[in-house]
Amino acid sequence: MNDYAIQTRHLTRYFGRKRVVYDLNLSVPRGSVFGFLGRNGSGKTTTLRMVLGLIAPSWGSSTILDHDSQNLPSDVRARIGYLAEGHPVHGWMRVQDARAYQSSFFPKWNNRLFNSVLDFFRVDPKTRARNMSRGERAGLCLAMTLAPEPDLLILDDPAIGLDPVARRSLLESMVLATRKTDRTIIFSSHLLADIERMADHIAVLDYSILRAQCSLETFRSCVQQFVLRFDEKPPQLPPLRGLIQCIVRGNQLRLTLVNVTQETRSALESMRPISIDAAPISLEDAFVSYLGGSIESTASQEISESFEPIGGVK
Amino acid sequence: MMSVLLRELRENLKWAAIICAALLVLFGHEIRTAGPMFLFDLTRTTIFMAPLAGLLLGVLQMLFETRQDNWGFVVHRPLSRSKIFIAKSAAGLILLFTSLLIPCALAWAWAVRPSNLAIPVQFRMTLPMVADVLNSAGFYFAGMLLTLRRARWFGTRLLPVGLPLAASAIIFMFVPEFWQAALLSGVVASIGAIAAEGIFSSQGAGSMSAPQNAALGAMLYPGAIGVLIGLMGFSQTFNTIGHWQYYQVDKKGQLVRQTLTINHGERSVQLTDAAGQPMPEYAGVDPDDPANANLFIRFNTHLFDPKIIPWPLTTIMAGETYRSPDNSVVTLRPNSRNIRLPFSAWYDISKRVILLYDPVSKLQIGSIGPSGFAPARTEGASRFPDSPLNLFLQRGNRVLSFDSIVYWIELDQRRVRPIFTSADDPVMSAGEVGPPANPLVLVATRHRLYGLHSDGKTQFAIPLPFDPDESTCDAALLPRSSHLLLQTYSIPGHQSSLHQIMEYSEDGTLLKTTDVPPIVGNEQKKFESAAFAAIFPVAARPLVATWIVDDVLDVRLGEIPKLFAGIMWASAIACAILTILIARRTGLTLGKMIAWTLVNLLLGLAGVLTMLGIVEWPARERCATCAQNRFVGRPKCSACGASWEAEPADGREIFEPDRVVLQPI
Repeated sequence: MNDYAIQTRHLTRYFGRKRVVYDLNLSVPRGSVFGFLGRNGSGKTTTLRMVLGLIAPSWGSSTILDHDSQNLPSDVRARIGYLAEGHPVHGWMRVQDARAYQSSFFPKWNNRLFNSVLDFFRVDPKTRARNMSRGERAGLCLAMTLAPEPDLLILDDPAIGLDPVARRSLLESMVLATRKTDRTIIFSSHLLADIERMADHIAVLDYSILRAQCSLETFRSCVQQFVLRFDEKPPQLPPLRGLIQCIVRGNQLRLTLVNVTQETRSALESMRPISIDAAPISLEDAFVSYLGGSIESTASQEISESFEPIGGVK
Repeated sequence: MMSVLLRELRENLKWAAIICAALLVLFGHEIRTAGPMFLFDLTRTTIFMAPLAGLLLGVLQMLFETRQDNWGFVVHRPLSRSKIFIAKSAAGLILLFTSLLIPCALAWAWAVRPSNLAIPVQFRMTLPMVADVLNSAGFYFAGMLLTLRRARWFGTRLLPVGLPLAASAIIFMFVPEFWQAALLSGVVASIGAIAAEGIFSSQGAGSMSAPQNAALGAMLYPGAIGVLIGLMGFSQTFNTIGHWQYYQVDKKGQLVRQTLTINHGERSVQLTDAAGQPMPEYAGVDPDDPANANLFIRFNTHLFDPKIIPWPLTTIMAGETYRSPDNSVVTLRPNSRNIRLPFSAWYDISKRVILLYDPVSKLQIGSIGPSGFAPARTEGASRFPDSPLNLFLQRGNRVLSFDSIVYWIELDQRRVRPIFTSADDPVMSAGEVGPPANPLVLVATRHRLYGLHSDGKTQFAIPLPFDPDESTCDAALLPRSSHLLLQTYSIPGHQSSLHQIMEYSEDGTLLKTTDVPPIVGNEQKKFESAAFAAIFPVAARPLVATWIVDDVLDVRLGEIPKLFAGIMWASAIACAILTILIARRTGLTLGKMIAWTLVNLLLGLAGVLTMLGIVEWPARERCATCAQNRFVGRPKCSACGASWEAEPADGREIFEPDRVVLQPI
């Protein structure tokens, strides 16, 4: 048994000519709560499906709980809980039907946990799944996923479409689940607050390519923002490795950088600003800058060209 | 596994109920107009409804799984995919068979009730319906494949229906026995199940095994052949010139060649003698005009042993199939418009008696055997010696023939009379020709042909004028001269193709023998045959006899054997080259490329279509060195040999320092 619940090796997937996941080398430590981040269409769901053996990779391989994803034995599947995107469940089933059906597959079944998750979501046991609200259905699916007490929990965008109350219930249920210390949880999400609250490790996919995989602290420390003040209009930027965002406001230059080195600092000083100050940056801002940086700049440039007289953002 | 089975039963019960209700409604409609052949008439419904039900259930049962999120929910369970598939398909087949068999059982229960049908109802009559129900299993798995299988083009998605469709056609037309139909249905369903299981189990989890690929190929191949034949047929719709020829015999006994030509919608008919010379008496005569309906002789009486007919023509020419009512009961008619019987008469094959039914009360009146009539509720009439000879050919005659005895049926008198017995020369066939009031009974034994009056008096006896092991014979009486006309053909597949018409006087003297020259196909038919050669698989040539291609498929292979073979082989070689190109594009290994090339050399164009439906098209990306497309995951570019290189870092990467990148397993 190695230290990782999931490992991928050069995992690559194309749909036709479209590259969805490319050369992904990911390692999810055992016992971690692993947040999987990325924009829509960046390949998060496809990666999770490949790891679970639901889609074959175009190239590369992956292991999950020390077994090849494409040939998972039944007993290993029993140790993996998977909550698919969109909370699928058979529409005709009532809560009791769903419990009876799901529990028949798993040797371990925690009925108390099942009921307590349903209580969190206030699911009426007599309602058919097709008549449930999104929150109730999410609750039912989560209860079905948690009750077998899996060693590894894979949640694909579990909070999608939920209101803040239901989202909070979901998170609390997940907190409930993480009380078992050696359990690994990997979940994908767009909601930075959820990631910040739950995850201790993150991976960031940027249009099919893995750009970051680290602890949350490392990510926070690697993404830094600097404010450079000048006497006059800021000069042309020198080539800066790791620059992800640049905003000009009058005589100020706000730069967001990744992996700042001494070389970067020297390059900044070479612009001869009046001052260089490190600015605090939230995880959400860091993430938005990290993934949206280049695109935001382009869009900003177009906006600034349209509103030249105001000229606040460039 | 039981949980999946029960869930599938519960989930798909509504579809089964809808199928069952639809069939009950259609059967109910049939009951309102039920004739004596009610149980056989129901097969007009089941032959379409059972496959449709199978196909729909297969599609609907898999529809939930086609969404990726649902797919994960269904298969991510501590149960192998094979077991999930087995449970699903077991539930599906239980529902399918139940929903189809319940209406059949109810129809049977209604039919066996006395006073519902004026016919001796036998269990055997339900076999065609049961065969249709069993046949639906192949369509069920085809429906699963239709839904689950990823297809590059919409048309190829429908190809898996090809095998069950082909099997249906064979079961409907060519299979003699029920057990053979059941076996064929079982084989097709098994092939479909293996292919569907392969697709279900490998969906996203690697590639299919060789047997699963072979099963998928077997499902697709008949569909591909169907597409090609369909395209060929469609191309014929643009052909504006049609040309048909056949022979007739007029009331004077003259051979007349009828040539029908349709040119740009203009129809013209030409009547000539066998040599093509115009016949003045038929100038301007249109034989299709209802006023000329009796212009030519109709050879309605057939004198041959059905056992000499080779399969698959036995089922068409002699009705020797479990789907034919003649294997259960045969209707007997008085053969005269002047006689109206107050009952319907049936020869019951299993009871070996003639049964009479009241058409109003639909109750049995009595039975007729060799010793005469016996009313119902008595012991019944004595039995005939065996099953009558070729009843299918003798329908409407008043002759009931057995190996050693021939009876003349007098239904109005409720009796039969023996008119011919033969101890050492077994009877082959018998029938009547001429006017119903004064018929001539013809009895053909293995060596002689007898002409008898209906009272049994011999009019003539001559040596059999054709070889009973090689020829068939049709008979008719010329109306004016009362001369006997015999038309003999060599059986299909026989080396010689003899077609003769013989005329006999009333005392059995041979007056004339006319050799009918063969009809030579025209250029258009030759062109169609040549086009057919292009899609005809090389592998089928040694298996399919020339006469089957010519007589069953209506192709002129016998006339253009060298041209046919040349086009067939040229097409096979072109297919092999095409296969190599596809194999290169799809990145097949050398071994697989050779195997597919050999297979498609033998299977032809349909094989290439099948290959396109089976082989995965691997992802390709632009090579950074040569800008050609290279296969993803291959260590070297096949065009320039450049090694694969990872996407270069852009400086934004954040990884823990101890990160290790592993090589693929």
